[in-house]
Amino acid sequence: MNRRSLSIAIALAALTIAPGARAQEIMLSGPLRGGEPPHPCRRPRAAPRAPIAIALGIPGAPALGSLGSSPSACRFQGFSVGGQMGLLLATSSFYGAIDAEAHLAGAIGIAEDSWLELSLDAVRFRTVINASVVTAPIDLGAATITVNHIVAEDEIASVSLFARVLLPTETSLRYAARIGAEPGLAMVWTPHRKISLHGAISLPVTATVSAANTLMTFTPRATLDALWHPAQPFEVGLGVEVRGGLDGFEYFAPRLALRGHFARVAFIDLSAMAPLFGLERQLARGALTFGMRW
Amino acid sequence: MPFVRFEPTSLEKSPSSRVARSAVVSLIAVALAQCGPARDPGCLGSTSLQCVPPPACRAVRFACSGNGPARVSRITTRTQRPAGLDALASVGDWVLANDNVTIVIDDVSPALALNATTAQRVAHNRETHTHHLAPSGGTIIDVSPSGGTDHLNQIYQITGIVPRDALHYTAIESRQEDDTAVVIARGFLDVSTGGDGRVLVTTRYELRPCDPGVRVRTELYNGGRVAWSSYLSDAWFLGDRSQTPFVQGRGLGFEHPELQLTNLDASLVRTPYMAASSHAGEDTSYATFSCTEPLLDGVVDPTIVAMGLPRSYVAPGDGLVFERMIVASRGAGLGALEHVMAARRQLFGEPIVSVRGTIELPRGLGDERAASAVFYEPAPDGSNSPREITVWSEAVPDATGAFRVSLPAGRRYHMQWWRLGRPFGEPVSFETPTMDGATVQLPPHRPPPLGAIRASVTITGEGVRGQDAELVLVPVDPATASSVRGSVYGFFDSERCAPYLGPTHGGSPGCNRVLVRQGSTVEFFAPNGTYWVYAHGGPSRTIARTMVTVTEGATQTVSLSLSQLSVFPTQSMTADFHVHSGRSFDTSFPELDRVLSFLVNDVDVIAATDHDVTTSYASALVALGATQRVFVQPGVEMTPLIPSQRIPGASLPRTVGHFNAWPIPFDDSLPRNGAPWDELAQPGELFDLLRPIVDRGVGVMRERTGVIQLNHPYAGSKIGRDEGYFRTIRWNPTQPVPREFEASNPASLLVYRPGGADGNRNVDFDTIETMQGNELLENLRHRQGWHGLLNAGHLRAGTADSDTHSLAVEPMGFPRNIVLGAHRSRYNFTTFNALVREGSMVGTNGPFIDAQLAPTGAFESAVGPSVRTPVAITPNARLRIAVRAAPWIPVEEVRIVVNGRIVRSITEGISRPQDPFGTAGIDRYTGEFSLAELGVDADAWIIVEAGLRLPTVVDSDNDGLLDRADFNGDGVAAEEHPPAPRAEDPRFHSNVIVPGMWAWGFTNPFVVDANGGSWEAPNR
Repeated sequence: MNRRSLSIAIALAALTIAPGARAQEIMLSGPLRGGEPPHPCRRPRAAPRAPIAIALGIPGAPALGSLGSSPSACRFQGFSVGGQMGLLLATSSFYGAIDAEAHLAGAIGIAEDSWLELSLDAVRFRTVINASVVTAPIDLGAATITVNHIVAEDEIASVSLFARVLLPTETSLRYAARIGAEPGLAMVWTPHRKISLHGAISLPVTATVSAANTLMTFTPRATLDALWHPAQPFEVGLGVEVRGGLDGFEYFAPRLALRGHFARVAFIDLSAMAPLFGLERQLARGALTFGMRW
Repeated sequence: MPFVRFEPTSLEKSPSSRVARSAVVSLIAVALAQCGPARDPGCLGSTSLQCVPPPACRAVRFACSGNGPARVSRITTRTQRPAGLDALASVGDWVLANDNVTIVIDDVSPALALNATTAQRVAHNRETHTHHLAPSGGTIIDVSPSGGTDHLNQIYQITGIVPRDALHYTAIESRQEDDTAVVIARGFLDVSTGGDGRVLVTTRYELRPCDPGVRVRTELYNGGRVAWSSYLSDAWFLGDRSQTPFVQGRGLGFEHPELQLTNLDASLVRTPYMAASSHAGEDTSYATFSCTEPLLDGVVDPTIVAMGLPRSYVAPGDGLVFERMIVASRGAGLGALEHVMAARRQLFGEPIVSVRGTIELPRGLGDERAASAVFYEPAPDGSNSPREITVWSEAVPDATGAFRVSLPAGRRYHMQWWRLGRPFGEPVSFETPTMDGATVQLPPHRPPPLGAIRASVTITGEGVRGQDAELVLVPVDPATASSVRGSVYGFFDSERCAPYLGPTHGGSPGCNRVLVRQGSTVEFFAPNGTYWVYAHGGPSRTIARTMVTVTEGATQTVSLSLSQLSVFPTQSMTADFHVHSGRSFDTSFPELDRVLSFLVNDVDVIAATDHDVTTSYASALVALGATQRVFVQPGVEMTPLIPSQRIPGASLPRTVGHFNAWPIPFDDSLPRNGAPWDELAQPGELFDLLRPIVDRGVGVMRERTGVIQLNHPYAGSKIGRDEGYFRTIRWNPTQPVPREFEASNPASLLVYRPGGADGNRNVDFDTIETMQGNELLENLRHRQGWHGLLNAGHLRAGTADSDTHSLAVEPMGFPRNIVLGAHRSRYNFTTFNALVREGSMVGTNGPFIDAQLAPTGAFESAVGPSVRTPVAITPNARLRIAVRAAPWIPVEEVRIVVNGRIVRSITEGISRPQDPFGTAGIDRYTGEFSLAELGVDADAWIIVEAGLRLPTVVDSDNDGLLDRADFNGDGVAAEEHPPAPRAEDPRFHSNVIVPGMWAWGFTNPFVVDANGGSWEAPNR
């Protein structure tokens, strides 16, 4: 166990000092526990492994495509449809907000160890209650494109780099447009064929640009999720997300996921998170996703 | 050099970031241009003082000839203030003016240093140019058409309904752009009440040479962390009674949904324009329309109107821009709508037709409001159902009877004439052609002539100081009242106003009342009917009445005579410490009529207590030759309007109620004429501000010469603004007042010193308004609060004030204070106020109680009521009581109250005059009691009351306050108001003079020390 951890650390260090190194040259090796080797990404009768999928965009914009989500460290292809919803209730300041999005997502391989993900909040509903002034617009939300590339992989672990771009597709902004980017690193480690650990760090940055001002956000984040696949079709995940920002510590959020895997490629995913201990005032977010992944 | 201050925020950017931003903006601007019509973001989000917002309403042009340029300047002398009682301009404010209109924007005051001394705080507060509901200057306080008067309280900007949503300006500057005058105010949401200081706002006020009003552009940028629901709008603080709001729309016009702050959807109207008109003095009308959207979203209430953009979701980094115009026109009616129609024709291509006509007006009385016409599209089924018609405009004919109104082309209209507060005749139907610019000439209208009354009053008897009187008309047959009742198109509708003679809150004639000036004959119109015409001159004179029948075209002559009575002692002065005039935001009552009402009601001393502004009545006193008849102490009613105080147990922030203070030097070069700014403070902090102003002296060596009064302590709230401090803190007066402040106990706020250890406590007022107006149950609650304070050992004098706002609502001088020991020939405000503070007073709306306490039983050394020093008594101490009242004032009961409990109720031996219109029978009761027989064997306080018998009253909701009474005598205390008395009821005549009056007087306390040593409060 320690050797494997050390190997991963060495790999990360190597990535830092030699970003151009080919993935194949950095082999993560070590003795495997149990009988059958648990491939980090593929498994029988279930979609490729993935971290808990729920995301919280940025302060004031809780859903921005896949911005702020942790991607899979495993190459995959597929598509999904789903919805997510967030709740902010600050009764003492007479403020409340609910957002709900229907999103579309797809992934396609572009090379042996690279793939492209697209995500769009196709229909976005938000309601904000400012005392008794209430608005509830429905509009087209944000879209993101994410390029992923595996930089290291062996029998039990995979490490990928990703770069995500937020496209200015939101129609609710009258005098501004929002763009953003999120570089990051994701990894998966499968110490057991029924257990996978997923980690990610990323650096989301957005700019809402208007004629005379640009509102910037920078919210570095890290997640760690443990997923347990006790028996087909069930999978259960528990994790945490920690996020900082320009205004200070944003939140520490426990998160969970319940998944079902069907017909090798289909899945249903129910996820939730609850930000705690920081500036973020959202009480909870939940998401339900259906899709196919292979 | 304009004062400019701006607080940089974290959004300030480095030059390099601006370069990068410019590049991105260029790209995005191109993208946005592809998506829809370009909207000029101006300075949206800019923190640079160099950024100038673009002009507003660029598509609107008003033509004129010979106009010079619009000019921007600052007020440098008091003479530059626009005419009109509502004008607030003071030295330092900003003025936009052309040949058509003058607009005043209040200055933005610099922030106070955190370590400022008390003296600095007081000075800063008085110089703060902030008014009414707005959290800062930078708002419109005066708009006066050329040659006209200002009737506007304030227009400020909001983004929602709670105080934190108000725009708070921190910088202001002016620009002269060729012939255009510009003032720019910048700031953010009101952080002092919890607003987000990262939400940046900029408002550009602009006037061009021919404009009839100001162009306004407000930019709001959300630089914060959360998305907002924003209702960016202008809030027009009409103040309840100063203007009548009008909005175009189906089922609207002068009718609007009730304002519900917690359910804005139910209150919202969508309208192309809003207008408001005054109804007193030299009239002015105002109107507004949006240049950004075809329709305004608004809420309409006689107190406040908001007109703005549709409610909008504003994400962080995004913003809103709202462009509109606010125009004004001189004269009665809604003349300002002519400017709106002209502008909307340019903005939205609406074809407009001019409709003209004439009406034959009654001659001789010169009232241009004698008739008016409302124009509307009938309901789809052709009916005139108020909920189905679409009201477009109103016209008031000029002195010749001619009128003109602009209406949209190609529609069918009805024109309904109104006079004396009621519609008359059948609607006139007509159509407008479809051609823009066409004229429609309506046939002349010849209504039946109005009937009139010509009246005079004489007053005789010893000690008469004047012949001024008031007439009150009531239908002889109460069943006919509804047919002669009137209103301003449904506003200010009161059953008291039958017959309706004029707007309830305007000058005389108003409601059903007319003032008669000394030696003159008054002539006024009245609807057809048979009326009792009463004349009165206050509670120390007789009343008289006569019956008249008013018929069309005929003038009836009435002559009535009153007699002076000796109800009040010669060694006393009568005073009303709570009166309002048109300077208050909630009434239009002219100063001249207000002073005349002082004379009519024979009041000697007035505390002029307009809301948030000081008044002296100096010019009106001179005009009426009354400078030696009435002594006016300029003062103020501190009226906090911004809910800011967190009270334990209350879910919403509160205001702290109303407080009077006098004397305050009247200085109309200062903001609020010298009155302090009273927002965001607890009562103790207000007293900290007031003491150095009302008390004479230098530095800390101040002699207490003024009076600070807690007004109507249990008054309710209006639009979320508390009007009574005891109600605010939910004090149950049956419970003791804690000795020390306890954070969890709101009642302990009374002993809290919000300004620090050297400051005043919230209970450190001098007097408490125990009787205000004539609502019996309300006054019984105030009385409970006073008694509760006395029981807690906080000895304060009780006062009785009218809180009059007009002729008919809270009539002047009912109730009033009889200040014992004062005399007209020796009047001096310092000694007079000392008598007031110590409680050498009787409060009354009619009966006078002459009560004397003989501490040792010998009346040679008797004392009057006083809260100054407890009187040591012996077991032989006695109380002597004499009650006097004019014959028309009913007295049925004398009550002796000890420590808040009625220990003796006397109904025997009270005389009742046979003739309520006569002069005989003033002396109603005399009696003498030993304190021992009253059960006074320990330290105590004693009050004597006299008047009508009190009904059974109960506290139905167990909050310690009396809230229901058995007025109808059915054995169940379930009513809140007494029924209107029938003609045979002893209350009848007094209720004609003072509607709702429950005759009642009270002495201030005799504080007796029965045990020696220090006085122990009963409920400490």
